[in-house]
Amino acid sequence: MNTNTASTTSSRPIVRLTDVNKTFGTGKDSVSALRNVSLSVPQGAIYGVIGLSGAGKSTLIRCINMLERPDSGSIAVAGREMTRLSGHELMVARRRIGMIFQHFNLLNSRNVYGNIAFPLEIAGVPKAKIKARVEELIELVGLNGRAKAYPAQLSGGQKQRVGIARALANEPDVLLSDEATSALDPETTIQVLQLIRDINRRTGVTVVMITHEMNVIREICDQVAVMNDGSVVEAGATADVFSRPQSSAARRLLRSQFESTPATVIPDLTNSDHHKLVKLSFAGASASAPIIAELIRSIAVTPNILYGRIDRMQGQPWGTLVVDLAGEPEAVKEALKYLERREVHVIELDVTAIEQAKESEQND
Amino acid sequence: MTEFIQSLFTPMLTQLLLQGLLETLYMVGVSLVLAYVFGLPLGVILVVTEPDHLWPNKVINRILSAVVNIGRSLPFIILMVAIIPFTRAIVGTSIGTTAAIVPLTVAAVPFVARMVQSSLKEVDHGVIDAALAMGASSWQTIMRALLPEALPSLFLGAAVTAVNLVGYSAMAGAIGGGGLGDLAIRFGYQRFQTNVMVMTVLVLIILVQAMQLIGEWVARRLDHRSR
Ligand SMILES: Nc1ncnc2c1ncn2[C@@H]1O[C@H](COP(=O)(O)OP(=O)(O)OP(=O)(O)O)[C@@H](O)[C@H]1O
Ligand SMILES: [Mg+2]
Repeated sequence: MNTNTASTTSSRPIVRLTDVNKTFGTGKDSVSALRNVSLSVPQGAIYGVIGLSGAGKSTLIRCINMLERPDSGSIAVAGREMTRLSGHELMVARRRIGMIFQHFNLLNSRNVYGNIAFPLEIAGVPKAKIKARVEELIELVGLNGRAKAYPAQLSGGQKQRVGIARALANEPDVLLSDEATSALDPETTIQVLQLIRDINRRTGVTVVMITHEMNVIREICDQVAVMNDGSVVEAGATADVFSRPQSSAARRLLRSQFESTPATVIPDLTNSDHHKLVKLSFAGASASAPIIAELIRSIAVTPNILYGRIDRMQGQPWGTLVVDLAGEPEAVKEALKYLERREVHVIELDVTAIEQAKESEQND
Repeated sequence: MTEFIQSLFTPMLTQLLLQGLLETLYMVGVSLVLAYVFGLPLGVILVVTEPDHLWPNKVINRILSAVVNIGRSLPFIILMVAIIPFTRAIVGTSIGTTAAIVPLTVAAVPFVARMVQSSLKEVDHGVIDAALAMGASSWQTIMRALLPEALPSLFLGAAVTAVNLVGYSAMAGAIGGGGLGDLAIRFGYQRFQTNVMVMTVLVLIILVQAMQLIGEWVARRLDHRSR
């Protein structure tokens, strides 16, 4: 169970974008889909990309395999500069970059076997080898016995499994996923994500995935980039970004993750110099350390815990506490500093807003 | 009345109908195949030269589209007469079933190009993205993804084309092309032999129905989208 990210990811970037720009259209109708985007994806990582609709996530991921050609900048995948490849070189390079899609994009005219065989046929792999490889892949994605089924006869989850098998056929270095679970129900989403994570662990394939589901990122992404209006505004380890989002875009996207405290659990209180209502988020190492106990021991404050909740992030606990810190003004200040030092994300709660929320909750 | 019905099934008339049917099938069959030999690539080019497709090319797309429209706007009877010198140059004569194949093909090519274009446009662009992302060349994408995905629809289009060709071939018959149309005009219209007219129309109806049904059946067999 101790699969921490350091063991699966090395620091060498397998995908590196530098100052990538992409504009659609010309003149007044032009849209800057990517503005000076730079990011690097470590080998073996599961790298998430989040952002509001229209932020440029799809354009970014489609630039990695040159389905979209950037106007400027450099895109290196496994050491190859994608923007400078000839037509034939690009075809060869693309075989090492798998891609899965929201709507699967399977060939309806081919059955499961035929769909998975497609990238191998394209690459000119001999028939006998194709057979062995396809059977292996069918097994890998758990579609045993469905080789002859056509896409129309499969469920959404099964179709995406075919998509994954097909994307992995030529043993790619990178797997690109553009909202691969957005068309699936929650149950199936979890299964497909588990499959992707399993494959990542087993084969070491690097995964770059776009998703609108924050819990997807929280569950399986080692690192995450936040996009807003064509720019990457924040990138880093998932735990860091989730517990201490720096950009307003990230905070907006993650709001539901943070501010889901039911207002009514909080008693009538006012922030004063002697009371501070704060919300604490613990992730990674800080989640397992006895920080509150140490706080009481070392500083003269009385933390009154009003609300608590534990979620999981990448299999690690991730805690949220709403605490009323009571004590002398100096001690309260010191306590806040102490918490920051221990890498706890602290939000001071706005009491008037909470009172308003409480009223509206009661009125419902 | 019974006398008239008996006149529909005389050995003489059956013989005429059979010959007419074979001639029609010959004209339609050969021109259908030739129309696809030229029309299929044209239809493919019309689609792939569109913006954001495999080989975006405004100039080729515009020119080709204009040529196809001109071809489609010429009434068949005028086209048939207008290209008589061309027909003579190719077949050596402008009269007879074989000669009729030339105008039939020329008329059907632009029609086929449009049918193919609309079939290929039905294919989800995501499939093309997927093929390219897997490292397929444009040619492989066309041959192994675009055309196979459109195959059921292409067969339906071929049935419509064949039915149209039956209609045109009847017109071609009017200027000595042979076939069922020729039969209807020579005996039914010019000699007032109502029995010949009735039977020819009957055979034409059955022929058209059969073509449509075969097209639909093949399309259904090839279509794996629902089941
Ligand atoms: N082919 C295109 N032609 C013109 N504009 C485009 C094209 N593709 C994307 N855009 C524009 O570029 C911007 C970024 O689009 P993109 O699809 O990358 O966003 P996204 O972050 O993936 O959004 P979503 O979450 O809705 O999928 C949008 O404003 C979009 O309208
Ligand atoms: Mg998108």
